[in-house]
Amino acid sequence: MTILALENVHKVYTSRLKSQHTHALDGVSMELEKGEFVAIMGESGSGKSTLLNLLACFDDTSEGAIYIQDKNIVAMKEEEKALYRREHIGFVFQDFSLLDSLSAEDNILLPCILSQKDLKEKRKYLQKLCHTLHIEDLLKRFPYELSGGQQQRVAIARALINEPDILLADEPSGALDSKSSMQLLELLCALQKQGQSILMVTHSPLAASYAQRVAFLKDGKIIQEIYSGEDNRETFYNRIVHMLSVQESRDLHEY
Amino acid sequence: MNIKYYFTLAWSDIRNMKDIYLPYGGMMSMCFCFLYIIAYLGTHGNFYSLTKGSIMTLDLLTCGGVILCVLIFILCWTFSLTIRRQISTRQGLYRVLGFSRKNLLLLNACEMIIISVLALIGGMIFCIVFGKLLIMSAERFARQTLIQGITVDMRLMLWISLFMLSVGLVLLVRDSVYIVTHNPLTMLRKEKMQEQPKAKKLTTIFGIVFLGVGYGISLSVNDIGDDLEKIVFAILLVIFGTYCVFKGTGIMLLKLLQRNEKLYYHKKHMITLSNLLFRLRSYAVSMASITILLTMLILTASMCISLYTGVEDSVKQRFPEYKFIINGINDDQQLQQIVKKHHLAIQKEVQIPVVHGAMQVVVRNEELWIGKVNETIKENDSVPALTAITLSGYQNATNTQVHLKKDEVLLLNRTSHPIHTMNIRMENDDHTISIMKKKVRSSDVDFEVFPTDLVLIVPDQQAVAYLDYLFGEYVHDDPGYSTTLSMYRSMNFIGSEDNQKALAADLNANEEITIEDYYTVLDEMMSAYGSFLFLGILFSILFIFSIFMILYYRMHEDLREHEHEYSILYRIGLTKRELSLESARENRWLILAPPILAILHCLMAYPAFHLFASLFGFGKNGFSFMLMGEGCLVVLFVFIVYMLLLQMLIKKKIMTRKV
Ligand SMILES: Nc1ncnc2c1ncn2[C@@H]1O[C@H](COP(=O)(O)OP(=O)(O)O)[C@@H](O)[C@H]1O
Ligand SMILES: [Mg+2]
Repeated sequence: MTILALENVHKVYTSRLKSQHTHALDGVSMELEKGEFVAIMGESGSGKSTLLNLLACFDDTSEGAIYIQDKNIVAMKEEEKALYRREHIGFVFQDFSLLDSLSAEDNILLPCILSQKDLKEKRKYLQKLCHTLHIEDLLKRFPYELSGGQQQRVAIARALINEPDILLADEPSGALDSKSSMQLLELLCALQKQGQSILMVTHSPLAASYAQRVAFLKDGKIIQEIYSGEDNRETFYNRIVHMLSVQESRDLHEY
Repeated sequence: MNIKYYFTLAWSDIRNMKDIYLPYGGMMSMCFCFLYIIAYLGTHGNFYSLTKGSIMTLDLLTCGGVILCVLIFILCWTFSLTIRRQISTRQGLYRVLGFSRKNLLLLNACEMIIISVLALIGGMIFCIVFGKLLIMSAERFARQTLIQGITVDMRLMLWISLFMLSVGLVLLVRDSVYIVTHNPLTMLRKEKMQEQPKAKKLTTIFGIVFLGVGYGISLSVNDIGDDLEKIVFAILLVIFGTYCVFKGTGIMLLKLLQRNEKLYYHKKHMITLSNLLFRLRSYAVSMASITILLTMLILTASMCISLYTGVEDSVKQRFPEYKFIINGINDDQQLQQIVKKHHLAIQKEVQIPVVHGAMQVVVRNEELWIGKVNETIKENDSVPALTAITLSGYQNATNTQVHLKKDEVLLLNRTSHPIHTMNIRMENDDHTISIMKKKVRSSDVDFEVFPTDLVLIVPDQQAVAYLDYLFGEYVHDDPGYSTTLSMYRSMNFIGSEDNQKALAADLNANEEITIEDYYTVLDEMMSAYGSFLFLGILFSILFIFSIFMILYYRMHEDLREHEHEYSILYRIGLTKRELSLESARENRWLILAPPILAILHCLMAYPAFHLFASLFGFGKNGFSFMLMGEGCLVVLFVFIVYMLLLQMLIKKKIMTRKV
């Protein structure tokens, strides 16, 4: 079942002077199956964040359509989008984006309180999530008392508490040390095994190697997609690195 | 590095953050200007030659100058702290980028020098632009010329500049200590912003106790004069209590609310409560300052207004029917002449023969003692003033018919003690003492010609005898001795106000005549309180300005610091509308708490305020209460408007901004 589909999505940023246009996305089309873990790779400035922001309805597309569960979110009104984001999308940021004024537990519970869910039930689900993410002991702490990796796991719990259709992650391991970042990626894999659809954006081949499929984004276009298939992680990683080096040498020639 | 380089860098820093430096410099300039005006008035006015209110004016100006100096120091300290908070990140960045401590200290000093010099120049410009205006308004309040023209007094300017510079120096030392003791990384980080504030039990308890005791004292004040120290103590308690309440009690209360799960885990409460808790830590001090400034503003302003409007009322009360009370003209012809000279005509007149004007007597155990009583005064006696007049004068003045027996007198008693008998203590020629008793009848008509607490009305044929009785010695019993009693004439004139004033001035100038008249008294009272009013207005401006500055800086911080938080909430799935509602909920508390507490302070200060107002005779009829109440309402209104404006601004910002 297709859970997410992009059809020829364009995004053009117009600078304040109205003269300079940046074509951040230039006709992106792709699909995501339910329960799939997809990584989008690209250099910095290639339009990865722009793509995720469009998926999360933070911004409007210039052209094209985005379907989540067969619903075109481009056509939605502002309020509808916010509601949709709250209920159906979980988002993890590179900078964790936890609220300093709330404890870890309150941070996680915030989305269900905002959408007025039954708190008792959610607390049970929270226990389960915390068990998966290994943060049972951290719930009473405040963000400033947590390490980066712990903060990011809390942020993932917050993204998942409303059981979203899809989890979007913008370089979730970007601000973490290599050990915490490996742990985090393992966790994402574990979540995927439990049936969670995940779309992750990254520029690190290692992070991408945890996914089942990697799409390469360059200058706002998807230039190639590769599947891990039956490969183990190491071979998949090598294939990704190979892809990148081929890409780079091609750039060298063109230059 | 070249010193010129530091100045260039400092100047560009100041220019980059002109929206926080400009109000600060403006405030310093204004302080400079006010201080100059007050000092100029104090040193150049020849107050001893003033016709009215000479001593009080100088005292008030000196007192006001000292208070202003203290206030300026406090204001500069507070606002430079706020600025410190905003620039320490930038300075931390400089350190990280390779500035040494010494470099940064130099840069900071350069910044301070530039700001001070600019503020001084601004202050001088203010003096030139507003100086004349302010002095003219001071003269208007004082109803007379205070000084002959205003010029630039270089020495005074120098002194005041020195004062301001020394304030700047203290601030510089404080900042330098801050820079030396903080490492670049802590400067770079928003200091401890993320940590949860702790509820301090001691502060909480102090807050409540201080406020309670302060209120209690204020409510129990009976007499401004006697309880002055108590009042000052109460004021200090309330000031400290206010700080403690915001720093301790507020946080404690929010924590208690947070502990209530049902209440806390609610869509509308969770973020609000936790954010308020966090914001209270950085805002507690400024909220408390706003509260105190507002309280002072309301009290000062309503005091000024009540003085201004009340003086006239209280003078009117003193002259309800007749505007002139003249003593010393017994010859009708002479009076007619003077009146004619000023193009006036007598409208109505009452003549009251007076035995003696105001003199002190003793009231003890519901008995009145006159005569040789000075040596008998004991501690619990009250010693009101008494005027003695004749019965015929009384009948004329009140249009009543009264018969007095030989051993009876009539008494108009305005004290709170009932009086039934009168004792006359006479010293005979052989120095023995004899005491006469008279029965006292109360007058049931009040007439205001004589303002003393007691007015004694005696039968006409005994008037001369009473001259002796009042002094307790037989002087006039010589049968050949005859006295004409002096005549008090209460009169009104027909004619223009200017002519009446001229008449009053003319009569006042005559040594043989004593006169009390509406115009002179009003003029004198107004001019006596003129300097008071003037200072009150200067202080009110300063209070308003500093409140405005606190709010301005807070708004500045608000708009910057909450951008991040709002963007997180937006990304979690709050709509922009919900976001602006959320910020409205938080701001409502933060903005409205100070004025509400200030109003509570004012209400608690009301008894003392009322006593003060009644010193001037207009504490009656709830007038002072009305004034203060109106002051409170105006303040509340202004804050609500401010809240709505801020809300609109934030909403616009939220609505238009992209992620
Ligand atoms: N708000 C914006 N306004 C204008 N240009 C933008 C904006 N956001 C991103 N861009 C431009 O769009 C391009 C893609 O940016 P982004 O999606 O953030 O890249 P990535 O996340 O892959 O590093 C960049 O060239 C960037 O400069
Ligand atoms: Mg990015």
